[in-house]
Amino acid sequence: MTDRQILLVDDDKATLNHLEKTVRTLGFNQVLLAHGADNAWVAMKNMKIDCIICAYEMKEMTGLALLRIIRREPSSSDTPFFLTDKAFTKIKVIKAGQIGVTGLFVIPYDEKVLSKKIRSALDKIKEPVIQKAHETFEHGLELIEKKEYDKAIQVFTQLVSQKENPEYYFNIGYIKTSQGKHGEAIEAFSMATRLDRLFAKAYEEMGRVYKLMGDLAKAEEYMQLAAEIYMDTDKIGAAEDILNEILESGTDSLNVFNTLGVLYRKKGDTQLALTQYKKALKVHPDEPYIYYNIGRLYLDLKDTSQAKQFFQAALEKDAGFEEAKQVIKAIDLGIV
Amino acid sequence: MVRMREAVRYLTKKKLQIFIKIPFLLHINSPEYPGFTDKNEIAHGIYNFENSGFYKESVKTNIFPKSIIETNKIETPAILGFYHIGSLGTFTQSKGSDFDYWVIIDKRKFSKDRYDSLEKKLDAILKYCREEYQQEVTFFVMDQKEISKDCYAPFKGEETLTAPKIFLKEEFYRTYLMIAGKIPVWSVLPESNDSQINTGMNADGMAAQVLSMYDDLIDLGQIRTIPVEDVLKGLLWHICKSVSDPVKAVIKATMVFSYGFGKPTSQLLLCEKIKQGYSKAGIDDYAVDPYKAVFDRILEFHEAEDPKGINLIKNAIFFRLCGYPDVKMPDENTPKRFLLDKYIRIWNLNKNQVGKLASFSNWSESEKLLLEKSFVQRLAQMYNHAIEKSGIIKTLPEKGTEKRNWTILRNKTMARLRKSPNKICECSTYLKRRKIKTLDIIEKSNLWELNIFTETGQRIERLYTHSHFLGVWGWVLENQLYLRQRASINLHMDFKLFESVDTAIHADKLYMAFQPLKPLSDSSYEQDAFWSKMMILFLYDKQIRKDRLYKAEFLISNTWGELFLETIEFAPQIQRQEQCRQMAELMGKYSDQNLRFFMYQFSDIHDPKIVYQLKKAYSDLDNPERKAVHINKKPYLDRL
Repeated sequence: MTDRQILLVDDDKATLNHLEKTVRTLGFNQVLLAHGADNAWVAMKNMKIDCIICAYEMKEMTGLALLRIIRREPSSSDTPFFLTDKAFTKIKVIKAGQIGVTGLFVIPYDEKVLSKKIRSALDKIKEPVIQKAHETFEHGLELIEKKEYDKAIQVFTQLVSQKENPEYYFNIGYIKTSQGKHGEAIEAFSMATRLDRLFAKAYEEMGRVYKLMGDLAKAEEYMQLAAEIYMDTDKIGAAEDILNEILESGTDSLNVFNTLGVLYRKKGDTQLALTQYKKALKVHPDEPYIYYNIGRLYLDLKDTSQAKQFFQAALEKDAGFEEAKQVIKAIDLGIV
Repeated sequence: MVRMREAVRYLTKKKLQIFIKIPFLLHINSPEYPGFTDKNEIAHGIYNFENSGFYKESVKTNIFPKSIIETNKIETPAILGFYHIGSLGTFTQSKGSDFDYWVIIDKRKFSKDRYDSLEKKLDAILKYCREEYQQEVTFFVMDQKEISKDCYAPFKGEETLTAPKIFLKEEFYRTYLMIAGKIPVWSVLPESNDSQINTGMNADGMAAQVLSMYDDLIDLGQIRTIPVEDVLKGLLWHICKSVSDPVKAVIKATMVFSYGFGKPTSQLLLCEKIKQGYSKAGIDDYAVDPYKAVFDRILEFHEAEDPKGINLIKNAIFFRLCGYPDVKMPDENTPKRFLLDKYIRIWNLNKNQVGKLASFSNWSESEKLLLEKSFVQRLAQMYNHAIEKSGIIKTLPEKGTEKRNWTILRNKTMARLRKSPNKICECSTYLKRRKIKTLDIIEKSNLWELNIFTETGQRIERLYTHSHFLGVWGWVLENQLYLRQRASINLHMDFKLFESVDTAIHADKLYMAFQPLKPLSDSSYEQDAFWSKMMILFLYDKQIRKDRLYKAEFLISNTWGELFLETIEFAPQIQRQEQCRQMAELMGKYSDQNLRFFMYQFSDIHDPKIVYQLKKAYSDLDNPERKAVHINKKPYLDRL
């Protein structure tokens, strides 16, 4: 998620710089600055922007006007757009809401709120399937609150009576989770994954349900599985997010550190990969796969003597480790 | 003696030094010298070493101080006999000749620890030779009792040798050089067609009698006849070996073939013929050369049985004497040159013909390949003839180690001879032996071409061209032309190369994905080949719609190390979903349980969706039962 491009817009340089600093401390590294709405519009036209945080009050063109233009463009109609102001009046809030603002930030920023809202918005655009299910579900609840029961039933029926496909079961899982029916939610997510083996999001949600149930080991297992599917389908960013989410929950898992190691190797960040592998070895110093993976990393760096040492260490931990034997032979023959 | 003298004469000063040193290093165990083992059990020493010419020579030349030997006297030497086998001291000796030794021990006197110590000692000496002298050395450790019965089993476990054993023994007796230790009793017995053999006493009886009289002799077994199974096995073996040297393979295979299908006179074992020469050879008499005996045998055989095929054999002999594939006329006034000149005269080769053969290095790659193809074709003809004439295939063993050995040889041969239009082809042996410094793959108007730059400064333009990138890439992989530790490989094109993330990657990553390509052990040939890896390359539009996929290329490898190419060019109007379906169908064609995919993109910008889209399409196609993914509790293995 941290690789998403965020555009910050303000015509006051000092405020803009302050916002940039805050956003970067929250872990978002891809930040673009636009001085005024005109520049923001040019940036939008030339680059892929995933989220915009814009000052409400600007001299040349207000943030509200920019929001209106952006919402008219099909390519950016769903892009998360936040407005900032020192004091939002009621009328400002209503106007922004009518045009389709994603959220409002009051200056000075509450970093926690800022982080949560940006992440949540980026998460929604990442997974349209959840967004759609969520919106339909919310709409159904609104109808119940308004006591329009017939219409609500119609919405819910529509939600669950699509033809039998993974999304259908995913939606059921989502609803059941919201209702606190965790067992049924897991059943539904399982069904979704049986229909689509690569439905990483369903495994991810299943992990979250287990977390709600207090079964942290299972939660981690499924989140880890989701991460591996993301890795296998080259959704490296999604895999990184989910692995970090597991770590945030305080786990000390060998598998998570190890998978992060593989992930950073794929990203070409060898130092970070090595750090993760070392953490994995602290958890389990006798796991041969970690030694193998470190050897693999050194092969990328063309450091065959270091690589061989780690492959040999893997073989010492497991004398029957066929892949390690093969690669040592390949090194000796000068093939790799 | 003649052979040893020839070996010494043609070794460089440095190589001669290590040739003399090796038996010494085996005999002593001193922390000051390579091969030292600090175990209690003695794993060094060669029987009667102090009486060998090597000992005397090394003391004379002061390579080692005499005191070292004297302080290292041992009662129970680990090694009974130490012999060199192969081309040293023959006409085929070259600068690059390896040192191959047979090390004979008595297994009964070795505990596991003692044997491990011996192996460590040999490994250390081997490393020393490679690092200090750039000399490749191989030690074949064998048990005296087992070798006498043609068994080549390792210290513990079953024998798994696929080479034709009878010919190994024949080659040993034909080419061995006595270094130190006991003398093979075979050498002192009369040759097998000698009248004494027929007057009542058989070779075994005579060997037993002689052995009981002299402690300095050792029984390494006899060779009586060559069974037709071994002829067939020998042919298969040389077809497989032709990958690295088709000239040597065709010569050796023809010798094997002559044993099985020649006239009775040409079935006399060549090692016996060499033995006949022991008593007749003068000090400079190269007529006893073991390789010349082979050349003469195969020439005679062709003259009698297949005169039409003789020119190919003559070419092979010419090239063998000129050090194929780095063909160069032997130096003037050397026995090798005398022999070659003699053949040139006898064969009536004119200046042009000799010039053409001698300038092999300058032949085009396609000419070189054509020649090698004709050698391989000859090998295949001999094999087919042998199968047809002997009908032996039906009586081959159905179980046990021998069945395994036959299966391996037959499968390797199948891989070697298999022709398929989409199989990535081989390059010439000459090219495989070049040390390439830089490989440049260049895109030129719908054609990919390979240019190379060798370590010796030679630049070869358009060495290989193909209309698909993976056609060129597969050719580089198949022929192992890119040695990543010493060479660089570069792509010159309008695209960037992407893998999992939106940062472009280097071509080396493409190489690593398919390593090791060639099987590193024979066990891969115990079963039928199955698909192991598939590289998929997505090619995107360069100009108008940069996100449009216009072509996909597939490089597929199997467990026998063969490579195949497939491509799909998409019609302009079809959508991504349909493109993925077409690609998934092709992937399904190669579907095997352990098939692994490696996906790359040639594009201007990274397409983050394509891998998921294709894997999803493949999963839908491949998964009628729709099973859930298995949860793997082991850590993720970042396999090569």
